[in-house]
Amino acid sequence: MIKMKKLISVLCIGLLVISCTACGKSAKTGSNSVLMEAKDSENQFPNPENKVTFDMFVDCTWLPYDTMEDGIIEQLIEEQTGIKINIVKATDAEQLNLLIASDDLPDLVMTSSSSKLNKLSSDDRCWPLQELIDKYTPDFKIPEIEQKLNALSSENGKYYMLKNEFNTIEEIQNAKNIGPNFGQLIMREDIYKELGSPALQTKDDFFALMQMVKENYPDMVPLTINMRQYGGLAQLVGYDPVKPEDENGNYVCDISDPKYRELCKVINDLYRMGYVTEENFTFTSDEQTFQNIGTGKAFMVTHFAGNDEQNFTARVKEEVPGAKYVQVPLMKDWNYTMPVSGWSAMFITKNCKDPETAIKFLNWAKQKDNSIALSTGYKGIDWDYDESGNIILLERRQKSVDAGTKDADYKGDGFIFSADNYITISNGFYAVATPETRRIYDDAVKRANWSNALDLAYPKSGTDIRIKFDDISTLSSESFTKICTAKSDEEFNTLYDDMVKEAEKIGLQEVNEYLTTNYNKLCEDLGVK
Amino acid sequence: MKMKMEKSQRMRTFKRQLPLHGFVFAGLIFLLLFSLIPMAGVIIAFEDYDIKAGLTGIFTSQFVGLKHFKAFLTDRKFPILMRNTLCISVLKLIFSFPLPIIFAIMISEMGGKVYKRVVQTVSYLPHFFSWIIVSGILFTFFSTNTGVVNEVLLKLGAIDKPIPILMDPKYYYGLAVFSEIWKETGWGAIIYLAAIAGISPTLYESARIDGAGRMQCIRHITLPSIKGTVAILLILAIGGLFGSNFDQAMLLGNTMNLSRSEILEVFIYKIGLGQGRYSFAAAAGLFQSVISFILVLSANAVSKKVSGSSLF
Repeated sequence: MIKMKKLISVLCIGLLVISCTACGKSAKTGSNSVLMEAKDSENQFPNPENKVTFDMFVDCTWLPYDTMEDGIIEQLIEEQTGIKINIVKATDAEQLNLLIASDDLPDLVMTSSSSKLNKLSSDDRCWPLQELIDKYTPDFKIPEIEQKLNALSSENGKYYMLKNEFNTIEEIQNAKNIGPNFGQLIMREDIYKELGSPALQTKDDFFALMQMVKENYPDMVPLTINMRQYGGLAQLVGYDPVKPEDENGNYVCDISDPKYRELCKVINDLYRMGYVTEENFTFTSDEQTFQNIGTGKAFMVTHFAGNDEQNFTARVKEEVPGAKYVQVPLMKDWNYTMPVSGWSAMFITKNCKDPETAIKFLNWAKQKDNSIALSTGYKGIDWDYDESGNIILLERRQKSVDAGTKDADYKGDGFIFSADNYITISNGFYAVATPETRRIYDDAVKRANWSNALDLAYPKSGTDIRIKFDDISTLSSESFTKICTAKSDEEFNTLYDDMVKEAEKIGLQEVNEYLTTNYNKLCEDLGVK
Repeated sequence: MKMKMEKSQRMRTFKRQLPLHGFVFAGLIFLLLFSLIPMAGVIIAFEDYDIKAGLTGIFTSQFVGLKHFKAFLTDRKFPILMRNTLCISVLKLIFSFPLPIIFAIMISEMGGKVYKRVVQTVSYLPHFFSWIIVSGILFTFFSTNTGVVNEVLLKLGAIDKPIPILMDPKYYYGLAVFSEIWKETGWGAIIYLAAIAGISPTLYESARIDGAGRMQCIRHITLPSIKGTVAILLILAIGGLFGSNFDQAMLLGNTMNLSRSEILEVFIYKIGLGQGRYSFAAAAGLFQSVISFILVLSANAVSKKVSGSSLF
């Protein structure tokens, strides 16, 4: 009996050790936790003969392709660098959190969520990039302001990520041919013309157009809202969907901006008048919006300004041959802040099998021509520069854009590798745009407010203020549908006031004060706005 | 001498049963590794655990007592979560628990062997569809824009505008119970069919000789004979009242019906992984487990007293 007990005890201890070893995968293997000596020559990269495969998690559920396999961009990367990228696309917003919690991160990670940027910005999970740069690619220069901004996500002053689409405001204002990617309205031009191209400058104009569509085309859905991007509707009330402000002009939570209430009311009116379907409010992916477009029954759609009207036209062409989608010119009260601190970031994790090649790849990807190639394809086949140095599309790429098969053919974008800066990506949008869309872009660049600090003012993950901030954000997003589908003005007001009261109980005032103070401090400390 | 003989007898039995012991041992290892040892992690519910501290952080984080339990019990969503979790589970218990019993009895009473098998197979097929497929099927049927049900009702003139079954919160409980019944009734009947198959046919023969009809046989022979199985499955179902609807709620829930579709498990998932509040989520999870454990014990005690059948 005693022997049996001993045996069981030994077995239990053994299993405990085994399980701890299994769970403790975080104890990094020696080769990964300590940087290896740099390879013999600095010029070894890119070396197509040196084959390396990186697994990369892309935290974008909406990415229009699941794999890069057999795409032109994959072929280009492999041919020019020897690197093969296996992307793992997020199936939901929590998947990366699960990988972080289980310490099961792949070689590279791309994400945009501020709380995940905080979690990944630590020595336990990822490589501090300056350390890798100093050791392996000293020629890789990251502007000081960018380093400082990226370091704000960590607690030790080091920066662990390379952000995409970063430029200083001065650089952007001095650049030409900028095609910004903001929340936009996209509509069927053929129907708009049939209706006599009515004025579309104010909220009243907009509602009148919706009514005309409903009356003249009863089978059509006047407005389809992409729940991920409804910023285009904000101009109806002059609300800035990126930088909500209180009555005194302080940066605060959206529900504290009086104009946000007006925006919700406008959406509620659109719903109650039958211009938006009830089912629309349950959409969780871009694909549901695109399917609506494909039926030929969607008149106007809220989406991004980054040339998707051409994709939309390609999608509807089969159903309605003469249909054409165009962007709606900016209205009188258009008010938009363009955050240009980079909306997503690339990390090299501590699990990366070859951090040296990874950092060299990021350096390679940041070079101007490579950055364009990662989004657009081969220089000389898919794109080139014209005499003035502007990007022009060549036949293969243009055909793919016109056919609406761009994403299926190329399966890659520079932004997932943080390869592009704001100017190169927006030059790309501008290059593909029609003359009408270019006029809208020029107008937006002139009228927009630009900010390097906006996205960075959020509280850090794990702090009490962050818990309150997240709770208020959840309350706001969960209440949005309920408020916008209220059956009467009275119900709308009650629901909105209840939401604000609930937020106040959570700590709305404290969160607002934090956002205002932190944003102002960031602007002052970093000399940006 | 007697002791020695008993020992060698035990050894012989052990050797004969060695392959079976192997299976049990594998099961034990599995339970130990994935169920028992991870339970130690529950202590983070009493700490301010930070994921950056890794595995060692479980034992070194600051002890905060019942802070996260208090926060959970006073959370603005707590009453809604409890209401939804309980209502959906109780409704399922009321409606979907007895159906497999009735269905199993009906099948066992059927005549044609081939037809019986076909019905049985067809009825338990939906069990093998994952909830993601079931939610897709439900969307195809009940969507307000493209759903077959609404289209047919509109064309028949039975309704003048589509019924928002998938969106209106007031339909959610019904939708959850209906889809559960459709998916699981056939599968749930298998255990009862096995129990019914174990009833001695002589009981039925002698009852029929005494003049008992079909309904009397069911009432006086079938039901009392499967009483033990019903009791045990009822105890298990009550134990699962607080935690067995995650997939369904995740997939059928949307921003429109959130006020009725958000249940405790979904909240724990969102708060734990979405916001990284691991200690808070662990506290909510522990609360759920403790309640489930109490329910199992109570149901077991009641069942023991009332029917004489129990799990332990």
